[in-house]
Amino acid sequence: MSHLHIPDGVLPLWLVALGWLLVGAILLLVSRRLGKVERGRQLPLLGVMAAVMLVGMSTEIVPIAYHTNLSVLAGIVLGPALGFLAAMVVNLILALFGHGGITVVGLNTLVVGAEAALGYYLFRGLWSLLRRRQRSPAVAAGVATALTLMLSTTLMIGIVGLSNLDPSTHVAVGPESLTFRNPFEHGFLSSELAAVEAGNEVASSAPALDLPAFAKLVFALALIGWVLEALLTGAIVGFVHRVRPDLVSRERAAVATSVGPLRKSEPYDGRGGGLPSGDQPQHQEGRPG
Amino acid sequence: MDIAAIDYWANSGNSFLHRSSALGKGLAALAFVAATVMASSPFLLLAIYLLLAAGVFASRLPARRLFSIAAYPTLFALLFVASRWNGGLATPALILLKTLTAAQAMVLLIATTPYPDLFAALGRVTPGLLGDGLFVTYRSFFILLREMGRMLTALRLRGGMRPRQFASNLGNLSRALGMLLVRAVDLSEKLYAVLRIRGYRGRLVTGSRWHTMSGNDLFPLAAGVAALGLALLAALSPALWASSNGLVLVSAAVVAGVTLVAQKTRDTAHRAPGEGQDSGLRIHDSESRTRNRGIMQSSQHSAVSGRRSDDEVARVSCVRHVYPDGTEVSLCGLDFVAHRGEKVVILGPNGAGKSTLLNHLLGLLRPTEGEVVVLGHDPAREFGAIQPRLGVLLQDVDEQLLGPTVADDVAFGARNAGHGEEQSRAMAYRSMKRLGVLHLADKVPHYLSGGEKRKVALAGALVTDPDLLVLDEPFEGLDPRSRGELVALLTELHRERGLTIIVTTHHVDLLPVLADTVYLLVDGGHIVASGTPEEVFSRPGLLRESSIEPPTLTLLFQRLLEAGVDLGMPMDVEDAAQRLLALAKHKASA
Repeated sequence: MSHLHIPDGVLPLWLVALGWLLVGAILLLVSRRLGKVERGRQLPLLGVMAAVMLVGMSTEIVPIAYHTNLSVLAGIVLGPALGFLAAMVVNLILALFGHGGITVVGLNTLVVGAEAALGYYLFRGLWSLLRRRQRSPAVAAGVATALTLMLSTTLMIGIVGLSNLDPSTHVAVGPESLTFRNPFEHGFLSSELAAVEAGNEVASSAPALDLPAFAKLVFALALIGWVLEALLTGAIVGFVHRVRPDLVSRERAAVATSVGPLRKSEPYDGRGGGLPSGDQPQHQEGRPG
Repeated sequence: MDIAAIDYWANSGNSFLHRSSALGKGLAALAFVAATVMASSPFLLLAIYLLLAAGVFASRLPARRLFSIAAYPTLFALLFVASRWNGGLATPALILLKTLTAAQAMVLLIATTPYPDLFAALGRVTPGLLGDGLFVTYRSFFILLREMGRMLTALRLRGGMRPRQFASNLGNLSRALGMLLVRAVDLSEKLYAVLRIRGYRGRLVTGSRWHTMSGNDLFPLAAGVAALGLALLAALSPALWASSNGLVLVSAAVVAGVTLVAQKTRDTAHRAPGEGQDSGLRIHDSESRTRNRGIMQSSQHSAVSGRRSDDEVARVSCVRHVYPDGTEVSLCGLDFVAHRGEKVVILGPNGAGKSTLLNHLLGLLRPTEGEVVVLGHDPAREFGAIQPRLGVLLQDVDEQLLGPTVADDVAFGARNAGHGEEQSRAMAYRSMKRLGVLHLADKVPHYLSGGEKRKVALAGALVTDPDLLVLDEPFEGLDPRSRGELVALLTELHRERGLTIIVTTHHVDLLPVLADTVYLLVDGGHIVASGTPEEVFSRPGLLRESSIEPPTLTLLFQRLLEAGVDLGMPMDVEDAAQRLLALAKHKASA
């Protein structure tokens, strides 16, 4: 439910700029971290996982018309660094479709990217705790998703809370710009809106953000999203763990976090988990004959 | 989100907005967004929105859908409205109008700009991995969306998605998404292989015409500047704005209204039977038919044109590979050898190890045991040495086509080989012309038909004039006409250039025209036979052991042989008819 698509123009510019600065700094760190790995190796995985997130967002659950987010799943598969990049790619594309403002891609990326990174670490931690249970990957993924979304929703509310400024008075130009006169006050547009503005009530009674009310509203709605997303992510990870365990395995975790084993121009193992053949010696060494 | 529809509109629209550059429209959209962010008056926002509405009408796209797509995000904005509501309507109107206006600007931009152009522009202002990531994401999205669509259709057909079955639907959807994830990772591995094979050097989007501005850019730029000007006017001179906002609003409404009327009039005047953008395809179809007839004839005449050479281009000696899941493929028995200028077909049923053999030849797999030599090198260790001399056509060409347009994709290999932009374009032009796809040069690859995609991929594979062409199941999913066309094309290319061709297939009927040498694989990768098509067809029992049904002609003449009538083994219908006619004449004369 953190997937709220903060629109353009409702947050103060300083906050928007801060979002871009933070994302820029994180991208710099991520680039340094990923710079050791061949880009031809990272790019396809980043692209397809971001595409999976978009496909998830395009697929509704009948009959409640809920669509998935899959940011935690992306984090689990890609790791925190590539997961953050995937979040940025998804937010840029979403912004082009009007889902979330283009100026607030930075802030939206902070929220969704935090989901990918937090989700990854929580999943790994929980899975380690539940290691001996048969359904532990699904349970760990489900719980990690619920916790992550709870935290990221809180982060989103915090960002909005930081604004605590009324867009109609503080967005860009100050309250003096509101001193216009309604030219249609006696004409065909003499609506309620016009009447209010004509009396300059906007400036005098500009409502401040009611953060507790906003938080209650968002948390109430988000609860449904957390549960659904947690159930779905848990079920997906459980399914993937049965079909292709290497995709959510500890070995993959090592690859995702350290990025060390990926070396330039190394052939991949075809039907394996996307790792170069040299990264999975356990399959090569145990050969018969 | 209606990404597929918007993408279609961007590629199929024909308004002046579609013809204006990504740069011009992008700058205009940013100006609109900046104006929206600055605006603190609902009237100003309404005026900006009306200007955008004029753009929507001018785009000649389904206006109602464009408006509704941009209006959807306002649902999210209601949360912000609820948090600030004091009983008045000014603030909610302001927030909703800001959301609506900014979203409309972006939706209009992406609905009139093909994504390769848009991402080429974005790629200039984002870090490399992000820029390329946008492109790969968008490209993969359509492949995965199609996969997801197929899976959901299958689920629905099998009763897996029913109304009021929430828990069951959720479980089934998670399975579909899980499978999608697995396929996505497979796709990423194939993309990695393609990037590697095609010599990716860290920049995917190049050569786009995103920045070429023309007179068509005038309207979007003027509208964007006007919006920004109004916002600045309202900010810097509130008194002036207050006295003129009514006039501005009326002017914007008039612009939108006139555009709507003009667009409707134009639509009525231009609507004619048969008008549509698929007319090019019809022309192409008729051309294809004509060319197909010619090619089929020439291919039949050149059925046995292979000339053997002692130079070995590729050799696979008793290679064994163990996959991570423990599956073992042992390509032993006979050595696989391809000589210079030879057409070699690898024949075998599904799961026989054809792809494993091919992946070793392409250096995508490193053998657990055995030796692989291609063009004098170990492909797994020294792939860089053979890549410029190698052309590849993968089974699923969707995974191979990486360029934003056909021309860009064909030139991709030439650029990666270090040729300059002009020379790469010239090489791509020659290759497209030779493959008969020049008319598709500006098309987006994923809108082409299956046959066209294969030809485009083949043009890309041949652009650097390789010594060795490797094709993995190139005839899968093609109708007989396209299959015959591709066979004839390969035969002609082989005759013209003398390149070595290695093909995997299980279409035995194509062997007589396609192969100088056939390698027969059975389950587990064992190479059980090699020889000319005649030699392989003369052993129908061996074919059956390999789970391959011999061609009907082979079965017929084998039956005649068992009945005591030895007419040899014809390779095609013409050959069979000649032999049967000779027998009939002999019987008649006797």
